[in-house]
Amino acid sequence: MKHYLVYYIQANLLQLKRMVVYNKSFLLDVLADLTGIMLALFFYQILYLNVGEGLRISIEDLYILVLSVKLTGDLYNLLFGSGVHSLPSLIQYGSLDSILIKPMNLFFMLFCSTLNWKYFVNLIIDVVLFVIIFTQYNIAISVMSICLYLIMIGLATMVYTAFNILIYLGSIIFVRMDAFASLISSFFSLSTYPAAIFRASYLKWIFIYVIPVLVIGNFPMMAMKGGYGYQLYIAASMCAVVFVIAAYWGTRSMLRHYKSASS
Amino acid sequence: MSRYYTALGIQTIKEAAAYRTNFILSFLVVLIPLGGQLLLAKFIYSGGYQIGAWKLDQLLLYYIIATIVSEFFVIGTWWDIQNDIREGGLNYHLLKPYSYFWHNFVVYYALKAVYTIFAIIVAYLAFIAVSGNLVPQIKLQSIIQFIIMALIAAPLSFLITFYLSILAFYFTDIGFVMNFLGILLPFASGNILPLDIFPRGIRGLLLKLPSAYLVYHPSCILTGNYAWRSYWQIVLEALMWLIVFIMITQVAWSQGRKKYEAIG
Repeated sequence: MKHYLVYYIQANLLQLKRMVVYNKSFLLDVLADLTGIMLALFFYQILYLNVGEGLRISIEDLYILVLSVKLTGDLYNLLFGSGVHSLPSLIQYGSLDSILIKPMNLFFMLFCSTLNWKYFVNLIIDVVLFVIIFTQYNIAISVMSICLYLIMIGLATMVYTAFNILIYLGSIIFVRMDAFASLISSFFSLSTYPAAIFRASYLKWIFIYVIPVLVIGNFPMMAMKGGYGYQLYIAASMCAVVFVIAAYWGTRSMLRHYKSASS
Repeated sequence: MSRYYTALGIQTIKEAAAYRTNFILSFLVVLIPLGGQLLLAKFIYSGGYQIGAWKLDQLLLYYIIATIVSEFFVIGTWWDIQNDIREGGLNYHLLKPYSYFWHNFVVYYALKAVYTIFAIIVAYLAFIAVSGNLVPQIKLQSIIQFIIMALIAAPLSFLITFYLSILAFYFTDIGFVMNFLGILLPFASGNILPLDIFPRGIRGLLLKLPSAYLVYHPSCILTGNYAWRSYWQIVLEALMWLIVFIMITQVAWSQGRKKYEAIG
């Protein structure tokens, strides 16, 4: 365990140094993300000014929804994103060999060993935005609701990570995954909408258990609000277990089909 | 020279048509967020509420047109131009007896034409699925107005794209331009929400930016929102932006060529 920790710290300190060298591009990226989240919040502000109660959900809940989606995305990108997104190129160019021959756990090396520091800054921004919204709208929160919210964010991040692993594993079959991966990822643009807009029950089911769009934003928002009972946590836990098992099985199966000669 | 551009256009269309699956997939990427917008609009209207002065059918049509139009009149940086400047490939074009601008214009819009055909088919199916109508309610007058506007919007959008791409003469990496445009443009052009429902100050500004003449105004024209009088004013304003960008692009191009070192 100590061995892994030393590797993790050293590898990511090097990443941090690299980021400091390219600080201009890093700052521009963070600024672009900040602009994106401000515009997403502004979108609901404008809609609310126009239709008020027509959205049938309070403006502060909509803000929490948008921020929850960003928080889940930022956690995923900080901890796992770099590894998961590099999977297609590792398979395509046959460079997965360099990871397979290392005397370390494959899953750690593939998915968890690299931090993306840019998203660490984004996480700080998320916390600041949460504080602003809580104080601006006088939202009463208890220690319990924060704990439940964080549990749900943890589950949502697991689901989102496992889902992305499953998508990127497709590169063992398809040489060019870009268009397909973008298509699936585009479904997550729906995650900032309240679940109520998906009125057909089959749509809700699909967006929880097949493409877990509702899990990454609406579930944490509902956990923060409270009053949804244990069913919400059972659904989120079931999703997490199913997707994590599928990702684990998928990765093992991918390794059996992997040829070092590249795909 | 016109024969060269025609042949180039036909060749590009043939090449693009070979990658039709990729075109369909990439338009589906745009269509899914559109689905979210349509569902949200239907949800709001089902409670008896209304967004601005828009009736539901009109708003659904606006969103679909805005999605297609924003793909056709998109602003960004074009990789081909950027790469030619950075890698020195521009030498090859400068030696040839054609205009580099018009060469890229033809390739750009030939690709867009193929893409738009697929976009219209997919968006039409989405329209039927959401609205339940087989025929969108578009007046003949609106179609004529739209065609005239498109004749200005097409060169305007390419001029802006060309201008942003030749910034590669001045900066080593212009990726940040695309990053910011990708975030700001859908909002500023009226692709996410019609600009007339924005708060007054912001609305006043956004309606006069060039992005509005590429997405918002053309979409409003097709949904039948403009009488001839207000229409001509918009055409005039779009023409003014076109002239502004012709001038600044010419300055940037001639100064950039002086800075350009043929080694890339």
